[in-house]
Amino acid sequence: MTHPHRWWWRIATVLAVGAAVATVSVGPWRVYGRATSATADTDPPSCPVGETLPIMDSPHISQAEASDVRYSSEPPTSGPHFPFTVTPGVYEDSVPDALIVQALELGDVAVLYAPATPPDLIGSMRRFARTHPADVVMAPHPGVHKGVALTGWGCLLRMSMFDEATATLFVTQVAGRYVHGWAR
Amino acid sequence: MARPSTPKSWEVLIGEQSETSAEVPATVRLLVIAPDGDEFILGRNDLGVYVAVPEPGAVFVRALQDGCSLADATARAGATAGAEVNGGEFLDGLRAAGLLDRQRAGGTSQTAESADGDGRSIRWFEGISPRTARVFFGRPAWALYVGAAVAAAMVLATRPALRPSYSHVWWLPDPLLSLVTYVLLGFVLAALHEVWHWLAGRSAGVPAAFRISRRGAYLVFETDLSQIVTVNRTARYGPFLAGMAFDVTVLAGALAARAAYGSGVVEIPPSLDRLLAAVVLALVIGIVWQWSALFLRSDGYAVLANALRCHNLFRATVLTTKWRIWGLSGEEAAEFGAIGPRDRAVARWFGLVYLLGMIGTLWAILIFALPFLLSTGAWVSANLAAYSLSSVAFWESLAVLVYLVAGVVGPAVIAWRERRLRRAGALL
Repeated sequence: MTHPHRWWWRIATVLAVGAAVATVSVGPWRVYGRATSATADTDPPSCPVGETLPIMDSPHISQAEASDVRYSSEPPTSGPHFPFTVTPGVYEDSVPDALIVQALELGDVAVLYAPATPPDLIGSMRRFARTHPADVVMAPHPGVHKGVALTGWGCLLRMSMFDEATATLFVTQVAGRYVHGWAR
Repeated sequence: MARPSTPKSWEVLIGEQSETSAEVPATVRLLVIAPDGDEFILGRNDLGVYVAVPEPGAVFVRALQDGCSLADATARAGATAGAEVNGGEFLDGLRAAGLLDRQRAGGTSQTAESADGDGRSIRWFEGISPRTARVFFGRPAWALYVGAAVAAAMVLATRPALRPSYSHVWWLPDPLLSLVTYVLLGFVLAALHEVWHWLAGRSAGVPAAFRISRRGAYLVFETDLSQIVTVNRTARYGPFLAGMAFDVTVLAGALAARAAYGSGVVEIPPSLDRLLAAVVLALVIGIVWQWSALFLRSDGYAVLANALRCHNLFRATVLTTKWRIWGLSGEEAAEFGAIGPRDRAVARWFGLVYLLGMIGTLWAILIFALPFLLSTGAWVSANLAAYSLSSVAFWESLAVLVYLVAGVVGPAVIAWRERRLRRAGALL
C-alpha cells in the first residue's frame, strides 16, 4: 500500500534531515565540529582585572597524563585539561588542576586559597562564593602558599588578603568573558 | 510509563470469523465494561486484553452477564443499535480477540507486553491499598504538585544562576565518581518517578507492573498501566501525570534549598548544594524529555493521546509515517485499516511531531551523546591501560566503561529480544 504523494513526503523528509545535519555541521549554530575539537583560542581579549597570562596549548588529556603536565603559572589559567569540568560551588578539598582549567575554559572563575588559611577567612570567602553559584569554583590549592588567587581563562589576580569588593569585580568582569564550548 | 494497551475496533471483531458458535462461554462473566466517550471498552484484566466497541456491544455483553440467552442479548443489542445485529458473530469476534480465553492461573494481570512472554513482570498490585494511595492524589496533593510546578518555573525564570548546566554532572572533584553517582542518581529518580505512576494507578484501582525497557536508543524504567483503559478518560490524567508531579515537587524542593543556601538563610554542606544542582539537572532533563519525546511514547504522549481521545495513536502514527515514506506491507495495511478513524485523522498531523522527534533525537545523539561517548570512552580506556588493578581510578574507569557499553548494547539487545518475541507472538 503506497501513499499517493509518497515522493513529496520523501523529499520533505530528506530536506528536513539535511537541514538538521547542516545545522550541526556548518553555520552560526555549528556545534558538532566544535564539540569534537580540543583546541582553545590562543588569543582571547586581555583581562579587564588582574594579570593577563599567555595561553598555553590546551589539549584534552587523560588522568594518567595529568601528572606529567607542567603549567606556566601556579595556579594555572590555561593548559592541558580533562574533557570533564567541575560544578561551580564550594569544595573543602583541593580539585585537580586539569578540572579547574576546563572550568576556566568554560567561563568560570576559581577562588583558590592557601590550605593554611584561617577558618574565619574561609567562611567569608564561602559566603562570597555562595552568592555566585553559577560562576565560582572555590577550593584550597596546594600551589597557593599564602593569601588567595583568583583565576579565569588567561587571567590571574593574587590577593594577600581576601577582599570581597575586588573579588566581586574580578568575577563580574572575567566570568563568562571567554566561553570555549561545552565539550572541548 | 508504558503506553496503555490498545483496544481493537468493533469492525475487527465482527470481521475475524465467519463461522459462529451459539455457545456462550462462562468466561464472559470476567469481561469488564467501561464507558469511553461514545464507545465502550471491553476487557479482561486478568489477561490484559481490551477492545473498543460501540454501545450495542456493551449492551450485548452486559445482557449475557445478567443471564440472558444469546438470542435475548442479541435482541437487546439490536434495540440499542436500532438495526439487526449478529450476536453470535460478535461473540466469535470476542473469542478470536482472546477475550473469552480461560482464566490465567493465579489471575495474574499481565498483558502480552508486560509479561514479555516469560512471566517475569513484577506484581506490585497488592502492595498498598487504593485508599492509602489516594492520599497522594487527592485535591490537596494535586494543589501541592501544581504549586511546586509554578514555583519551580518561577525560580528558573527569575534566578538564572540556579538554572541547570551540563557541568552539574561533575559535582565531585573526581570526574569518574561524579559520573557514576550521577548515573545512580538518575536511576533512583527514574524509579521514584515510576513509583508515583504506580501509586496513582493504584489510587485509581488499576494494577501496574514495573519493568526495564527501551525507547528508541534509550534504556528506560516503565510502569505498565495497561488496565487504565477501563477507567474514564478524565481519571486517566492522574496516573499519566503522576511521574512528572513527583519530578516537579522534588525540583521545587531542590531549587528552594539551593536558593536558601545561596542567600545564607540555611546552612547545608557545600557538597549537598552541588548534589542538589545535579538533582535539578537530572529532573529538568527528565521533564523536557517527557514533553519532547512524544514519538517514544513518553508521559506527554499519553496525556496528549488521552486528550485527543485516541485509542492507538502510536501505531496509527507509525503506520501513517511509514505509509507516507516507504509504503505498508499487506499485514501493516490490514492493521492500519483496523485502526479507528479518529486515530487515523489525528495521526495525519501527529506524524509530523513523530518525524520531528526522530530528527531531534538524531540531533541530540550527534551533538551530545556521540561526543560524550567518544571522549569519555577514550578517557577511561587510557586509564584502564595506565593504572593497576589496585587503584581506585582503574575500577572507576571500569564502572564507567561498563555503563557506556550497556548504554549502547542494552537497547540493541532489548530491541532484538522484542523482535524475537513479537515474531513468536509473545509480544504485541
